[in-house]
Amino acid sequence: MNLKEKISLLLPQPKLIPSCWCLTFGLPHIGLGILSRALRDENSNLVFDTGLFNAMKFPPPLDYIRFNRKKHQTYLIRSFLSHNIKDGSTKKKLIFQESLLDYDLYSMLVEEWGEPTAAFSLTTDYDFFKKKYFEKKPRNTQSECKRVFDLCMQTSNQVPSNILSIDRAISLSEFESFMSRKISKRDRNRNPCNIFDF
Amino acid sequence: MNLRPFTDLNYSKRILRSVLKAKVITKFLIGNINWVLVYGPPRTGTSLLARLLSYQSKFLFVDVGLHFARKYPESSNWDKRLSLSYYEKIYFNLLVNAHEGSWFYQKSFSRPIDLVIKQAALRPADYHLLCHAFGLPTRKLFCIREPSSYSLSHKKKFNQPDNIEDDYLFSLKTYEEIGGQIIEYSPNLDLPTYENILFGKKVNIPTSLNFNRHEKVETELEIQYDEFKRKNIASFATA
Repeated sequence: MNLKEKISLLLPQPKLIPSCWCLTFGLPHIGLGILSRALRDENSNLVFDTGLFNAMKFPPPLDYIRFNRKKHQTYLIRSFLSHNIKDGSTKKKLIFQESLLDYDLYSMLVEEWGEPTAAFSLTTDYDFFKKKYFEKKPRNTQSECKRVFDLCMQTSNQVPSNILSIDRAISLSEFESFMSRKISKRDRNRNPCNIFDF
Repeated sequence: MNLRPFTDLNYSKRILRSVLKAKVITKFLIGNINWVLVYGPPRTGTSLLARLLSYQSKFLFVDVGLHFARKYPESSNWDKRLSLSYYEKIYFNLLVNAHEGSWFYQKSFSRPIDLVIKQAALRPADYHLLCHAFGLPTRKLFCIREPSSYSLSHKKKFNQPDNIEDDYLFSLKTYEEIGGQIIEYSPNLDLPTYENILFGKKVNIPTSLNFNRHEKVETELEIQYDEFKRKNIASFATA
């Protein structure tokens, strides 16, 4: 590291906030992207599966480790944003999709960016989720599948959002009415009577 | 490692700690700090070595799980500049908050080592990032232990039989990339010998060593260990 880089460590990082941000979260592999893409427009960036919740767990919460966790997490979120919303870019709106969102990450995001303009989550019953999960991840174990299900359901209960429950076939009109938006171009060729292949 | 909390320090010790911290951070900003790396498989005496070194060092941080910090930027394809500045912030944060060590009460101002970093099962990528942040270490110490004793101790502590061989072999491989002086954790090393290896003199550290002897059990790691020892015999520390 040169002197300039070292001095930059001492300087405060400029605060960058998206003009507005929307949050989508919930069970993976059952169609969360459809919600996120419906929210996206030409002024927004869609970021998904950021893994921020993993990075926020560093370092492990052990009493012999001294680390300014708060400072680190603030830096992490700001760096993440500066990577996804560049200065001078016209796209200042963020669609943040994180299937494995946990409450700690949500609180951190709210602290940095304020409450989301809109928040949507996706839930379903365990059998449908299991079927979809193993289609995508055939090598994973039942216990991992259950762990992901429980984590996502827990977050759905903790984080305030509009919950779309896939417990039956959802039609295009029903979906668009729920989102108050049109489905994205990319998803228009889906079955209009059963968007999420229930 | 049994570390005493900040709150136990009286004002003079707090001032001393702040002075030492300011000295190390200034040194970091204008040049390179004098830091020592301790690594090796878990259960091979890495904690003991870090604790003994802290007698002559200003600060230390141990087993912070450096590789966990790499989970996010790797997965999200950050550009190199952003990624590096992210790690720089992490390491600087660790340096600023580093512990003064368990000998803070015992020792005077003469602490030639600025920082001791101990990380069991260190990954080469994390070593390179440490070097990027702090410059090359003044000294690298690799801890190893005879496989049967290691296996029993590992099993007793972690109860994860799958990791026993993997951790050991991974660390032997890591040594090929990082290198350094090898210290074999065994009942043959007494405290004066350790002091001599670490400081080149007797410093009378007020502690005692407690090596748990285990009966010798043949494992598949013996062959790799013998090969490692034969290949790196010149790097093994002797009293």
